[in-house]
Amino acid sequence: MAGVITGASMITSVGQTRAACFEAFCQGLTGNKPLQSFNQSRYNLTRAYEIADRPATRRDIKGRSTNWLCEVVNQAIKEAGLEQCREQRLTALIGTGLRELRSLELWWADGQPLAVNELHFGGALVRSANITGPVITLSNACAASSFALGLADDLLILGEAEAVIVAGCDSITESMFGSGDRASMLRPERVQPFDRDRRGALLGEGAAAVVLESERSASARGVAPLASLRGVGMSCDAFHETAPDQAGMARAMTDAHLRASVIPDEIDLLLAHGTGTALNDKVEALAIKEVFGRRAESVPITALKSLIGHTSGASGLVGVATALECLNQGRIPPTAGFNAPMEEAIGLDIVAGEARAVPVQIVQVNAFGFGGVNAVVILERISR
Amino acid sequence: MSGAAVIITGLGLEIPGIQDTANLLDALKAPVEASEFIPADKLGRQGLRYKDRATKLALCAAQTALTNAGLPTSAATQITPETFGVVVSSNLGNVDTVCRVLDTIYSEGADSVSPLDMPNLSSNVIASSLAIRFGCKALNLMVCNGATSGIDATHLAANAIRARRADRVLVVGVEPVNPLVERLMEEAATTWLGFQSKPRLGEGSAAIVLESAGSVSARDVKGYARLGRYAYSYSGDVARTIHEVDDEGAAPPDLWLTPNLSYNPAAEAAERRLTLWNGIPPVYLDLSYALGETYGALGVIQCVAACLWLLKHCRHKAVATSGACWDEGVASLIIESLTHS
Repeated sequence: MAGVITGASMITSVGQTRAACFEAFCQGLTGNKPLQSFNQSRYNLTRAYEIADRPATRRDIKGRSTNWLCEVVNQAIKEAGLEQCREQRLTALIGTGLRELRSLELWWADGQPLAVNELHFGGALVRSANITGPVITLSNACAASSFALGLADDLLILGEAEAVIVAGCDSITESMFGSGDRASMLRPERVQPFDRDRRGALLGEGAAAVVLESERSASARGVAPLASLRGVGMSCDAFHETAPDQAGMARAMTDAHLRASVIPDEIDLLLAHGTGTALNDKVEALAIKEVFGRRAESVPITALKSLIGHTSGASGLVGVATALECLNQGRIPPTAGFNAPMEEAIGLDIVAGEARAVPVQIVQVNAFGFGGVNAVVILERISR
Repeated sequence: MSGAAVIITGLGLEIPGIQDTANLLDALKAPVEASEFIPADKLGRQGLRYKDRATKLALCAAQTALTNAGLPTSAATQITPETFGVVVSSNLGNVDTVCRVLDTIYSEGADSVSPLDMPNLSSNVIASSLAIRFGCKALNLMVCNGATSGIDATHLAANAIRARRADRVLVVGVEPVNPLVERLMEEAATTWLGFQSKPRLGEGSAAIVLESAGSVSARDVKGYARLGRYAYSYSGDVARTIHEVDDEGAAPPDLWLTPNLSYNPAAEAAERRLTLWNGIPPVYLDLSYALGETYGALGVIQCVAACLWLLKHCRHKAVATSGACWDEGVASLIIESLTHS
């Protein structure tokens, strides 16, 4: 019993809707900007991929991530046509890397008020979108929203829910930005996944949401789905707190393929995790080669972080929202800043330069996070 | 809900002031006096130096639960690690690290940040540390969902077994107490909720091992209890969640593990409504009387308490309810004895 996606939305540094983001991605526009709010004198890094929504009168305000979350969830509910069927009890699963820890920082350093329940998102989301079922926030690092999607799929399979709102959101915290600054030896000015000259990761901001519901529920409501969710694979490296592990990544991909009943030859597009760090990209490329075998040479691969930075826990679902457009438009956004492959990426088909027009039936979205938490999503186009 | 049985096979507590997991019920008779927490006594010194306090509490509770379940406590000897998952509940584990690193950045710049703080800035460091130490390579989740987190985490872990993502899951709830946590919770209690005094916070961790029926019989272990239904209400409707988890016509629960009643007028009212229990009220147990407000850890501590209580009193069924406070939702979960059904 496959779940289907009937509504989807995203907000990133390059757009306020799914359509606007995807168009910008395909044009290769990036959200790379000088720091918008943080005091530059404290940092070596000078750029990030921030959402430009802070008021002119104040350096920073609390609750930005929560605001994006509420916006994308309401957009997705509207597209799914669920705002008219509120007798249906909606469950919401929210994946985030940094929760509202930026609001905690503003409470601590700037005296802005904070209630402890604002650290997670339930209250604001319930008030904004009238969710009446369980509302659960998961903080699974940079794979958080893909884990949320997998658990939502389980709820449908186990018959615990008919429709689940799945969302991801993250704003940049100064503590994580500063820690990344300290760890970043090569001081990148942009994110260049899989490139020979990549210099590291830069953080981005974003949010995405999908409505996942059972096929039965969607067809009973007469709603045409955007895509079907074939499966979500999960694993944990149990290897290192911050460093990636090829075996763990490969296990998540294999688990996803098994749950989705697909083989690598059937996958038409791979949205890579691609953070642009020396180690992640190397290990991810090797894991892809391990799992995909010969298919690794021909499957198109693109990496959205080159366009919008590392949106942390939102990144998996931003990938999913993007994948829906790839499936339905037959277009793949380019990996910005990709000039020449790093050694381990030689032989991979990295989509670069400009968007590529090609039919896509099945797409894989990778998300790997700190702590060795890996989640891999497989989506399929719905033939009409 | 799928009928696949999910069984609690191991219990562990690390609550400074309570000697031993088996002592929990006795310790509940009076407010627990916190004692010094010395993690190395249980875990040795290796690998603990840069772990935050919440992680160390969680590692201790988890090690006790694994031993109690008859499972190895080292990654090198763990059995079928690929089907062993981890689900953790905590809200306040890393808030002090975040603010301390921010202070360093503001006073000395980012160059002075210690790289050793980086893992602890990620809210899931507790879950990944457990996986690394004990060798758990299946799904790994960190639930940060406020006062219901412990119940939510336990249910998500059970679902992961039902959905065949794991045969075994280590579930841990933990909250630390430190000056920053005290200030945050005091502001929430007084400024936001209008309470007169600051909350009495309780520090500690609880762990349970959940297993599929297949895993239990393959290992030939006994197990304490099986998990039943779960229900959640954001509006804090305690009675609704209890009605939803408690099958009509089935035997009424023998034990109700209540939310923190001192911060919880809604639950107090539900407690008095005998109609809720079909005229046969269960024994009430408010863990916060002895332990203080344990927030995201409460749900897992309740599971441990339920197993011990059902065993001690030879009774059949408990319902655990967390939340309905801090302007958050409420969640209830059924725990049924295996030996006295």
